[in-house]
Amino acid sequence: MSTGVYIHVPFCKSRCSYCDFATDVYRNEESVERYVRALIGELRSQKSEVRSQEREGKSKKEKSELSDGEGLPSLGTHHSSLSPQSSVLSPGRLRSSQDDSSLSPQSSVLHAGRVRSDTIYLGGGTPSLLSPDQLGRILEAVRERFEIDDDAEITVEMNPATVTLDQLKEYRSLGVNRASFGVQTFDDRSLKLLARGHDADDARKTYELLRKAGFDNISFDLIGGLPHQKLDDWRANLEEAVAMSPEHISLYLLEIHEGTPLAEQVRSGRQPLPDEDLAAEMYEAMLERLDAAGYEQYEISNFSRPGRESRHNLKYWELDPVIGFGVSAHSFDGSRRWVNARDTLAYVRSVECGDSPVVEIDRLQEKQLKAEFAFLKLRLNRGLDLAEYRKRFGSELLAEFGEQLEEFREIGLIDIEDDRLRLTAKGRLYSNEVFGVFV
Amino acid sequence: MKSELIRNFSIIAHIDHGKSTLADRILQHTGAVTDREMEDQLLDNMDLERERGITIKSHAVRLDYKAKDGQQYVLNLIDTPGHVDFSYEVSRSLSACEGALLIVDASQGVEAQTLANTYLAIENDLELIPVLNKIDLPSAEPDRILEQIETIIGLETDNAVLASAKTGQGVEDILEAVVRDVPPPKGDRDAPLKALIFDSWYDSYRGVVVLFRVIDGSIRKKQKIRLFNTGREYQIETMGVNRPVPTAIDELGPGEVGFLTASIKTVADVQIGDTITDAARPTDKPFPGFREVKPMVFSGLYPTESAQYEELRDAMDKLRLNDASFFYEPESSTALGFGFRCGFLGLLHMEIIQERLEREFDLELITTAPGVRYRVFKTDGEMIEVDSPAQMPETVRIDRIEEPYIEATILTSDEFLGGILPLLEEKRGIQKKFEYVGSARVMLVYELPLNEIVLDFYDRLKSVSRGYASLDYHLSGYKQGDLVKLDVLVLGEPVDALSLILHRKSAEKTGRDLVSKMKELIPRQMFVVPIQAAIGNKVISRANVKAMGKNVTAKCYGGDITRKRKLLEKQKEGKKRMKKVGRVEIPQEAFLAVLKVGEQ
Repeated sequence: MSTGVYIHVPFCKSRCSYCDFATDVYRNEESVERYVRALIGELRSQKSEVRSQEREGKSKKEKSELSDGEGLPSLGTHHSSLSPQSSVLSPGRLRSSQDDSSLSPQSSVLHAGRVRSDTIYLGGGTPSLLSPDQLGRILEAVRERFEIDDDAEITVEMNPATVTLDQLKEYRSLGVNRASFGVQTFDDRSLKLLARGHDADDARKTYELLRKAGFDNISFDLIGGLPHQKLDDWRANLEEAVAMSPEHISLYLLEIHEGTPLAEQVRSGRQPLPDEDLAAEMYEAMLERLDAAGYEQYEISNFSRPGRESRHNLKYWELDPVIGFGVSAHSFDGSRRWVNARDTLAYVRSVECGDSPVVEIDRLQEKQLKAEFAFLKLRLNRGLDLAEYRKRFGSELLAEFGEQLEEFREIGLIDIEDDRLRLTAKGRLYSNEVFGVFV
Repeated sequence: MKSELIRNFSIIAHIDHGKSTLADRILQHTGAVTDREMEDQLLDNMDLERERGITIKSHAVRLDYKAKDGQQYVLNLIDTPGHVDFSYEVSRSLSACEGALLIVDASQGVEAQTLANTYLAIENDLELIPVLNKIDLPSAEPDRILEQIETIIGLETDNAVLASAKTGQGVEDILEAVVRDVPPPKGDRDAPLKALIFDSWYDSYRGVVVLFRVIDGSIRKKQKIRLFNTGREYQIETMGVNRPVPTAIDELGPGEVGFLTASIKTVADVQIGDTITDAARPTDKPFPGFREVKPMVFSGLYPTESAQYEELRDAMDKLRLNDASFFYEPESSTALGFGFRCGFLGLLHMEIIQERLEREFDLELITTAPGVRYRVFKTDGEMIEVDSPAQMPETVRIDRIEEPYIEATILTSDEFLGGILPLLEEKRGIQKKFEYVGSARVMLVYELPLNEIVLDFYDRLKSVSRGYASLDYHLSGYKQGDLVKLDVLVLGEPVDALSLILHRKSAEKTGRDLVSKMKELIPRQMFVVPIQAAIGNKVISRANVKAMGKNVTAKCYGGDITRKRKLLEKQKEGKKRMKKVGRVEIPQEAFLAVLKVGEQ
């Protein structure tokens, strides 16, 4: 079980109309460079236990200045037995407590020298806005901190019309061997509505560049459930994607987040969304078409050529540790989830001050961990290994949830075979019902 | 205290006709409270009362008033509950008085409630002083309203006072009229003690506080008293009068009004209308008119979360301390789990209890459809009383069923008759009286099955009359009726909490309405869910809830996981609030919907 490394790069050339991500519109070279330095700073700051002692005396004022706007609880809050699992902390507050185990999240991963890692994933934002030099320095810092396997999967998210051939070649020489390509859709009208800042032709051209630069492991992001989208539009998208023959395809569904320009348009009725039933038809069309084209579904919304599953993303569903760096990056070490400051400036400042950028740590209670284990593993086509559950939690999943699972089995949502619990094809269409049992 | 200088009176008024404000003015005018101390509507001290503008429990205030004749009088203002559900309590309060102010809004005129309470006052031989309130409003029509009082009530209005509680106009005239027209109490100071209990409440510091009016004899501090009806004896601990601040007093004689405490644990031990007498020298005849309070309306109360069952019971125990007219006993339902079968004096009483349980005790409740108590005569000759559909015997074992009837008085403008008469017809009303009282004003007297008015009668009367019909009723007896039990089945399983007892004539429509409401409210499940309404084995209406739509699950990477888990937890939380009947999750609203069938 190797650890995954996630690096968040928040900058984009422009903001998409549906985006509520921690993303800053690319302002200038300077701000990107400042961010890269902070990122490297965070990657290098790891002697946490030692420093936690030193930092105990920091003044409150300084801490609150560093806050990214989250409410700061009183000192005692996270000790309270009433809210053991969640604590919202300001950057810098993190290690000022006696409860060291829960407050230095990275220590357990780090305690015995460098941790081995076999995946690095740069997501965003648009990490392909990084110059090869910047990317090189970041990867170097990652390698200083983690022991990266020789055959590690190194993915960079790229958006159409953001890269040059030379840049891609240099990325390749830095070890980047996988591109997650933000195609989204081949329909120009939709791209305009989403304010993606590129058209379908840009996507085709950039794809050619990727191949030319030697990328032989490319994943497409396709976004479904778009306003006005009809089943035939969706099929056309699938045809075009299949014809281009990427190694991997991820399905995204358009999610409407409050406060985005698109949310406003949807609410006003100007941009009607497909209903649940149509969305399900699109999904089923996708399963059918990709299967015919030789892709295997390995997760509810992910498909690949055999052997080309995303090794990094699999870690999320297998509950392997993934340590995130950068603004709003999420981490998981097997029992705790934590998240960095969600505002870029707050993140950069906290690192520059030598503070931890972590603002929230969730130590999962066993019940929560069990729930996540169940619903994440069940997303995978290979399902949940009951023996692993037994080993990890010392209890029998079927004994705990048997009654409800039996009902689901009767109506064909799940099956149990070879000590594995899986969603059936039908179950994948009612997955929320099944997942709901475990929380 | 000389009886000739005592005047005991109460105020009769319709909701909103200004009783509380006028009481406030009287208190201010007699100096019982200073303007600064004035808290609006001093007599109504429960939040709920203030919000609803009605008085639920009565109180008594002793006022000192120096009249124009130069004499110093003691006026006891005895407040009465202002709602039909509490008519027995009203009658007891009234019987503690010799007179009453009849407040009528100078624009609105006489309402059914005013009428009912006026009749109670007349039955109790009270001297009535008509007071036209809100005389300052431009819409006031004193002449028309006075004529109304004469024609509808048959009351002379020569001594009527024109007043405005808002401006204070006429308050002194009212007090003078009380002194002049209300007779002083009679009573024999040397006779054995006879005092009427007209109210009581539970006080967490003092125990039960009893309000009483001395009829004969006198009552003293430390006296050993006996309650005539229960035979229980107590030693008086504290005694006093409310001015309105409680003030200790050593002795009270005929005609006087006061409170006492005597280590009484619950108000159920002190029955309203009972007589207090001396334990050593008891009176041989109690004050007449005593009645055991009996609930008329019944419903099941269940905690939405079964874990709150104990809390609910504790809360009910506490309310019962202060409200002896509220009954409850444990009941269980296959759909709702453990709860209570509760009996109330009427609909308003039921609503008040529910609201207090939810508000003061922070409970969430599901209420089953309110019903009445039937007399079921079985084929074996036995008669049982049934106040819950679950207790109803099988049809073949029933010889006949009798149901309680009320006599309802409705006062309205004739323009609304087109809506009101069909409603009364639909509700199986039997017309007893149809009378024009004054121009365009109609008084209707109907006999109606109580069962027909407990569900939605008030609301519908209000809507067909745009709020301009007033209603009052009293129980008039039992009559045989063609009643059936209507069951609702979900996926073939009867949902006991949705069963109703109703007249055969309305069963079909109600069944249809219920089925279509359930169809809306029961969320789509993984499978088709048939919903049926049935009488016995006969299905009278059916509909299907379609199977659930498919859901395509969104991506789930690092940052999405916690959010997804929380979303699932929330979804589960929503389901927790549903009750599982067989394999079907039924939301709480579905149980509430049964209260709303018929409203379309």
